Amino acid sequence: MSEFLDEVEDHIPALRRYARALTRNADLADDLVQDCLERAIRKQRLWRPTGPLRAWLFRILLNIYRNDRRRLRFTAHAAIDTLPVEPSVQAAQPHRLALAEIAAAIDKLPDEQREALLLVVLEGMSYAGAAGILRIPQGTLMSRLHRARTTLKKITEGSEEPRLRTVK
Amino acid sequence: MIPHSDTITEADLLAHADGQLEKSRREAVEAYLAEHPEKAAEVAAWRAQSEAIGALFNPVVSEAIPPRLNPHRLAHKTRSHDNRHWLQAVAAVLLMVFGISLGWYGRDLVTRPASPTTALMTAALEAHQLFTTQGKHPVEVPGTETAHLTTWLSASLDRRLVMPDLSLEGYQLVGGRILPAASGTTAAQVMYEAANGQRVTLYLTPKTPDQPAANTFAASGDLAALYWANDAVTCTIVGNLSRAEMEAIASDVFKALSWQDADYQFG
Repeated sequence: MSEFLDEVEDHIPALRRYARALTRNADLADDLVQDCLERAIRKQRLWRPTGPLRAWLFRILLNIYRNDRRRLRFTAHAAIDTLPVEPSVQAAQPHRLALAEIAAAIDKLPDEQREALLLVVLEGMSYAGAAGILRIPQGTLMSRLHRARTTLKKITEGSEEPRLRTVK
Repeated sequence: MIPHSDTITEADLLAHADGQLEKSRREAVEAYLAEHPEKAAEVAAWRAQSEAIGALFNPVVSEAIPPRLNPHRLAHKTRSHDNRHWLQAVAAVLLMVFGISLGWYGRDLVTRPASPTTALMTAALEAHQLFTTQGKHPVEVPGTETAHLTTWLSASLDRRLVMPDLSLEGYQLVGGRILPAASGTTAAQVMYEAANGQRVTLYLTPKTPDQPAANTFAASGDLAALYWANDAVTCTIVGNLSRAEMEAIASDVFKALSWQDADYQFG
């Protein structure tokens, strides 16, 4: 029992990060994580210790998020948090502008693309792992990623032209 | 996805930007990028996106975790919550026993036909008791033949059905069968099983106008039943589970059965 809980605890920082990126609101994100944990604890006897716990937890979280979204709890990101102050990197203004822009651009992506992109890019999941969590074929996952990245690039390109043209 | 060794696809470039290529492939892509600066710029832009996303949300990981997300605390809360449910269930059963006795002894005073919902739920409970105890032949068509099962049950009920996926709740599809239902129609029973052997059944019938769309929950002995209907079908879920567990399963089932609704976006 408590061994299971300890293992669950290890995944909370990542679940919070993913939830924050999806909802862009600290309170809603933690509500989502709490719902997810409660559900996981209730269901733990159905979870087979052989499967990866992380994937299972992310699937639960996503399922709740989608249901909540259908119930319009997160409509139009009613209360988007202010952006986090940029971690103390020297590159000041231009980079920071880019961050705000990227954040706004991510919000404009269709749900399915945002879910996929954040699993891979933010949570560092393998394509196979992310496809498993989303229950889609790997090819579908990759085309969603590609579309997401193309859209992000289009949205941010206008003002970011010089930076993106940099070639090594 | 698996290109000829000297053709580099967009998928390769994407996988390269995401660091998901194996070494041999990576070298081929790097050589290709050296000769195609516009593609190299694209990959660099994708990587810049990844960095920005990380910069935006990675700080969350080092935040202090709010106490309300402590799993040990939540487990404690969930347990006492479940106990409360259990007490409520006992109270409900006692009330029901009282109600049934009252009904039984008062049957001569008032003769009232059972409501269509009660009749359906009773049939679903009986079918569940009969077939979940069948070790050898619980179903006619096994869940491994999902396509065949879906077609057959849809044809039998004259409704387009889908077999709900309950794997998230820990249940795998065992299979299904058809049964005679009231007034000459056909019912379908779909069975699921958890790793611990716990079985849950769905009892599906074509919806008739006299059947209400309202959700109804009932318990009988160890078993709980949850009734629901949309315009096309009625569905009664039966299992030896708490109401909370039933409702979790129900949300997956109803979502799957309502897949043709306009607002249904998630597969």
